[in-house]
Amino acid sequence: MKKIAILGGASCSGCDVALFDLPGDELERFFSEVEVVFWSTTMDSRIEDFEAQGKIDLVMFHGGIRTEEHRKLLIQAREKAEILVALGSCASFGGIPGIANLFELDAILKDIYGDEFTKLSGERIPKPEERLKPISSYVEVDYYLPGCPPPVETISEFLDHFILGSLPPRGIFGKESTVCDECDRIKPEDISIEEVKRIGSKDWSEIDPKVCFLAQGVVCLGAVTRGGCKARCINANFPCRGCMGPAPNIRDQGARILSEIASLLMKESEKNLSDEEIYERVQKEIVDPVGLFYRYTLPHYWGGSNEEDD
Amino acid sequence: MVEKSWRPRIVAFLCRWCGYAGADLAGVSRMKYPEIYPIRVNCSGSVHPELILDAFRKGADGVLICGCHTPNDCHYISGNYKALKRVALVKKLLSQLGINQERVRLEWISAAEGRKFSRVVKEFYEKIRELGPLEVRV
Repeated sequence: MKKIAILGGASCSGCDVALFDLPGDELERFFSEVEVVFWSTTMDSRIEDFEAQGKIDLVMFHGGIRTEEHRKLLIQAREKAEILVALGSCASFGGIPGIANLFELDAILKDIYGDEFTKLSGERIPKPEERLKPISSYVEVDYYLPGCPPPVETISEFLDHFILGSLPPRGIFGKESTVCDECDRIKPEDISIEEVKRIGSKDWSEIDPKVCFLAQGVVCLGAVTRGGCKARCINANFPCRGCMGPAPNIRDQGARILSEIASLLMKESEKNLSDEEIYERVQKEIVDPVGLFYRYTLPHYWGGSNEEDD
Repeated sequence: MVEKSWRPRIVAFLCRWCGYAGADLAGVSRMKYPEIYPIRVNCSGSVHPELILDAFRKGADGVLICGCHTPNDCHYISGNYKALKRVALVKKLLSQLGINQERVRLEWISAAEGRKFSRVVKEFYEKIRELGPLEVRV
């Protein structure tokens, strides 16, 4: 029987929970066809149990690398794994915890622990790394399953291939499409954004669930984000935030959407405004470019694992 | 303190109709300006933010973009406005990432403004020398 281990680093364990979105019969089949040797979120298993294992056929690692402990665990995982999978956006790109890289480590620790940290460090709290990084910064990764969490269909398809031994070549395991391809909203030819509408703002209830978010002044990352999620957020009337990472052939997801949004802003009125007015209004409308455009991918594009792609 | 001999690496994206023609005029008029790495592009609106960010990731200390004057000089009608709006956002992004936003400069330079080109490059070069070599800390 094939052996599987599921473990993680800086993660919310949402990827674990996503596995339970598998339909009941599939989940049952899965558990009857593989042996789960380690899964700390759901089973009574300790780190020693993992260390005692020899070769494991499939290790799914979720979460980025924030502490020394995560790093050691990951390196062990790589040594044991026949196939190592980055499960979810944190393992693949750094994810939301990666936005912490905007701040110095000392400042973060002080903010959370006050002056207590130096006393606790090394004993009760594992030593943090200077920067949070995706797992590909430390080890070779066989497959990436992006998403926050990865769509259950993708997980199910991957596990099927794994059990049958028919996995495709290594790399990102996902759809070769964008979220826009999967979104049913009406997309007008010509879009101009005069004022950015923010989620939950007073007039949020006026958003038409049948029309493209961009056309209604809401920043949506669907055009630059990999599909496969069946536009689940958009169908819940919430704009895409880019969790699936860059769409195929897009090198820098954040820069690409920044460019798109910049082009759409003030498109109709620009010729009547002075350069200074345009400059100020554009900067005013987009409050937090990093948080908006690199929400899930900051460590991947800045100081991460992206340097070898030339 | 930056060493006296340090020479900043400045990548300049020059639009072929105005910025590059202005640089050409500065050249044929024998005007002097500090060394830059000029790259001719079709339009300042085709200078994608990816290119600006990539320049910084790969060792540039400053990025200069020269396009046609607003409102109506752009050969492609509104490329210069695209450049303006993108640079506004890129600057905000850079300052969040801890990179001084003055390392990017956008200027409108017409084909007749060789003198302005030479002045802008001189100013920008001095500014970058003052800021020193870029260290990306994120």
